[in-house]
Amino acid sequence: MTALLEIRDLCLAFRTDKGPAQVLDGVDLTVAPGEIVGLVGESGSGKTSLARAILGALPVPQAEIASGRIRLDGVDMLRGGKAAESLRGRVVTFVPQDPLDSFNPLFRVGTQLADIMRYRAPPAKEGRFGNARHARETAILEMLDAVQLPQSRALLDRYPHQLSGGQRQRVMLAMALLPQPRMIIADEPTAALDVTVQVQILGLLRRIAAERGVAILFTTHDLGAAWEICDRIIVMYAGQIAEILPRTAFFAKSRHPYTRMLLASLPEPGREAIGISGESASPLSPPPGCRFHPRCPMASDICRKARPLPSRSEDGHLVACHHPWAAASSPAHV
Amino acid sequence: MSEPSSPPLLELERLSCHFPIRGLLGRRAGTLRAVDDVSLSLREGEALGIVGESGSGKSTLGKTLGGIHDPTDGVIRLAGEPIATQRSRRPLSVRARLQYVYQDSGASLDQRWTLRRSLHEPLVIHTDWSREHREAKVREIAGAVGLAEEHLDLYPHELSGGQQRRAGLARILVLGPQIVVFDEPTSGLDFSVQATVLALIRGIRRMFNLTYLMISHDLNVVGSMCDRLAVMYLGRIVEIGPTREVLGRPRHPYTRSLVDSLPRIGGPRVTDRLGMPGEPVFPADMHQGCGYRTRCPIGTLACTRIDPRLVIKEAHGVACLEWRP
Repeated sequence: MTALLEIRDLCLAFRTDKGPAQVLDGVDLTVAPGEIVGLVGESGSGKTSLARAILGALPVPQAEIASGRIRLDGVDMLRGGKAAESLRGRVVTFVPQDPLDSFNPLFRVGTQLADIMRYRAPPAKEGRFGNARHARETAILEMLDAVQLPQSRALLDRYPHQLSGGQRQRVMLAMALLPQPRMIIADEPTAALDVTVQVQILGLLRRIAAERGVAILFTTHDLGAAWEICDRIIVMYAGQIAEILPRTAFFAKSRHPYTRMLLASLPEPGREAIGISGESASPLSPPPGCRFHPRCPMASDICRKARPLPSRSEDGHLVACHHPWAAASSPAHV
Repeated sequence: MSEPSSPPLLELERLSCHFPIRGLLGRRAGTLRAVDDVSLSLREGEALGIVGESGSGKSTLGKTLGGIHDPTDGVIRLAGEPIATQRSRRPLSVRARLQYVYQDSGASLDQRWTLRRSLHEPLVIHTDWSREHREAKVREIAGAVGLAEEHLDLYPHELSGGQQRRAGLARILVLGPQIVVFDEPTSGLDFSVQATVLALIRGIRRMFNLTYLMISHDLNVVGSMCDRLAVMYLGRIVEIGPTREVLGRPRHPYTRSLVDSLPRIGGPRVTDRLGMPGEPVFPADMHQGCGYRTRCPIGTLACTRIDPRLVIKEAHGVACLEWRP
């Protein structure tokens, strides 16, 4: 299957007063149509910058893409000019972490949905008496139905602050779906939600991907949320990809020490979580070799000198580590 | 619930904290029952977790305990003596014994003070110790939370996020409190850092035989840190009991849905089953009956009229009309 999104050797730096901060370093990844890919990492891992690079939403004077390319649907997103611009917000759309920041607080939800329909969505079918406005409204109500929002007509007259957190995130999903995209980039879409609402939104994302064939690139720090919905998980550490796990190798067969230590950090009743000592690598002066080596219990001389090259097994499992765990061994916590 | 031989260290009796909702021209338009008729007790050395979703009143409960809000009704007793009543200033001695730790305890450090000065301050206020005596205590506690001596001369911005939290904890511990209220102690932290902070709290609990109340929205966090759990919904405790019982054999349908909503890495996907529909109603909109009835899968007509009371059997309490022993 040809990839919908293809990123090769992406290196991104932010110019700061203290020199360039290397946020992404040699990132390679692909996303197939209809696939849900989780981008998992802690703060500073570069997952949000990667999502923003695809959307072309990086801060303009500071961000500098040193090398690499991003191709979406065959279009070069970094040097594509008008062609790339026409994809953004149409072929690829965005669901933010906190939807309240992304709505305009002064306009009713219905107005904001209608604007998306008018400027971003493909022209709606002719409505009753050839009325375009009526057709747009029908499409919006259908979409709110699809994101499981009951009494959607009453909802259209409300202002964003009058909606609950779960309702706002559903409306955001509807806005992301209205342009009929082939890919949605969701940046921690459930981080601000309660656990019972999180399950609903995660289930909805899965249904959207399955029923509409929309690919979802889902950034999260929550391994549990990633486990729920992803077909593949990309674990990032300090701007580099540490491990890519297919669904079949999900966690139980993780090979990178960082992935395993992250799993052992999860709190669980009846077990004392271990945690990872030390601080995440600074992007201003990343450690040489493997960026995880200062915190890694397996680190040896080679880890301090050479960056580990990724090795890929047949099932698509990729690990970038000089001393990976054997594929068969099961992690301590399972 | 507590054995008669050991009186509870902390006791809440029918504690309520209500806030007025102001309408037009400041007229009272309603009442927000943030904490409503909560009773519980805590023995020495015990760790109690309070868990609930946003709007459940768990933070208001913690702040009322910490003396930040005055209770509207009810009594808080510390070692048998009432410490909080309506509109009475809490004596200094009580504030040293019951400490409240904010979400980001590091942010409560003064940015223009060295760590040493921040750690000395509570002792200056609460004790008449000599400088040397205070310094010895500060060093002891700093060591206990894993801060090196050279950290004491640094300013908060020179510390990492994890070190700031340690410093915030040290500031609470220098006074040797009997009870600590942790309000979301790890919110906003990465999992790897969260685990080290939780390990630190576990360590100081063992070291100082600390009694604490931990408030969190994360069932896994309180489940791994507490002996007993109280589940709150719309200002009420709907279930309370030993952690293993509450998580393993939940009696309230709300607790069950919380437990069922947790993703289990390696297990079946939770999203394969149906998630709980709906979201909590606004606490002020509830007038009668069980607060959970709007989302409850097993609710009956009686639930719309009768307010369920907390029924305690074998140290495990539940407020649900449908529960049968």
